[in-house]
Amino acid sequence: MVTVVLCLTQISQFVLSNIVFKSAPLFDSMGYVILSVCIVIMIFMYLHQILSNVTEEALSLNFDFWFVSSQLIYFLGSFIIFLTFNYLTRKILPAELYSEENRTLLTNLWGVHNVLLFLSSLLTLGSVIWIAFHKKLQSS
Amino acid sequence: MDSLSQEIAIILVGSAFFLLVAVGIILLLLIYQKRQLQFILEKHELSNQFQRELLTTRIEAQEETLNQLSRELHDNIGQLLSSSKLLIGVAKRALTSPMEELQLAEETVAKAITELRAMSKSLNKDWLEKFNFIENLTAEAKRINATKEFEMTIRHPEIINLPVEQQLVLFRIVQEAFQNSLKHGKASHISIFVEQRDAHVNVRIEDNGKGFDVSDSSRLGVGMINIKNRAQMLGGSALWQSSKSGTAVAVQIPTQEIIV
Repeated sequence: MVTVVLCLTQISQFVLSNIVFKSAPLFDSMGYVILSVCIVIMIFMYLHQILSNVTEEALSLNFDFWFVSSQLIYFLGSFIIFLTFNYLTRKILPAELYSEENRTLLTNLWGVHNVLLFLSSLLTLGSVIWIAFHKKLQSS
Repeated sequence: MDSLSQEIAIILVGSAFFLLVAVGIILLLLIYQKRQLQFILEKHELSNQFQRELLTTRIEAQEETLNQLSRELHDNIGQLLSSSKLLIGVAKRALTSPMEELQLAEETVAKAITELRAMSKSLNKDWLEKFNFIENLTAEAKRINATKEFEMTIRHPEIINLPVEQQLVLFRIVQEAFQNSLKHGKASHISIFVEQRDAHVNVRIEDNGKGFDVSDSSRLGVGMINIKNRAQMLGGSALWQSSKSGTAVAVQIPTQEIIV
């Protein structure tokens, strides 16, 4: 039920922002913030489920757990960047404030977001390799 | 420019904080789950230990009952039969020409005494512990074959590597299995195959009895439960296969398992 509500919220925001109001082609902070909040809530729901149903399988060998953890790192780590990026872009856009230095600062900030995305992808990839290695070790 | 730099610095600090929170949550979860898992495993281990202790106590009680029965057979009924044989002998000597029936009665009583002693020994734990599993099994086969009603064949190695206590428990398992074959299966022929392979001792008891429905749990008798419990106590297993032409019990005991 909660998942459905979260998905509907996300779809509504997308429709309102991109189709009904046709906002300016800048970074959609509100959309990304709602998306991040929805995903983080769902991640916490998943983690809560893991905590309440402890199985005999080690969590470190569960791919779902590592995938969800990598998403948590990405969305929680990037949350403030998503929240402020539209504001910062609008701030440097006026002609009197626009400068290459300001643009570089914003590009670097987005670079931090990219590093987080890279880290989360690396974690997912690492978990796949770790689980496969462990299974192979067990079978041999 | 400065104000933008300051804002970006604050954003970076905030992002780093959230990143740390995310990593912290993941680490805490991993540690918590590991501890929970350890707790569950310990609980299982305790429960298993309790079950084993319960089984050991139950089997010890059964052994004690068998010992008592063995003593009763030997000291009481055995003595009565010996007295009867003695009296028949006295009566025989008193008669100038003893009847043929009296001679037959004396022989029958002598045979009964011999069988009773053998049975008493096969029930007595202290006696059985003097010999190994193979020796006890061979003696039991001899006793069964002596009745001429049943035939028991054994294929076995020279020796099996199991502690004395475990050999006795295994012997009880085999005893229980062929008693089931004779009593319930109405078998006339029983084959026992013993082998030691890798880290296991495998014993297979086959009969030519009428068989039974293995899948019907309501048919699980006391004998079968005893076999399962004893095998479980040794960390092994007991599996049944049955058809209209007979039943086979496959018992597997690990040689590394330590008896509780």
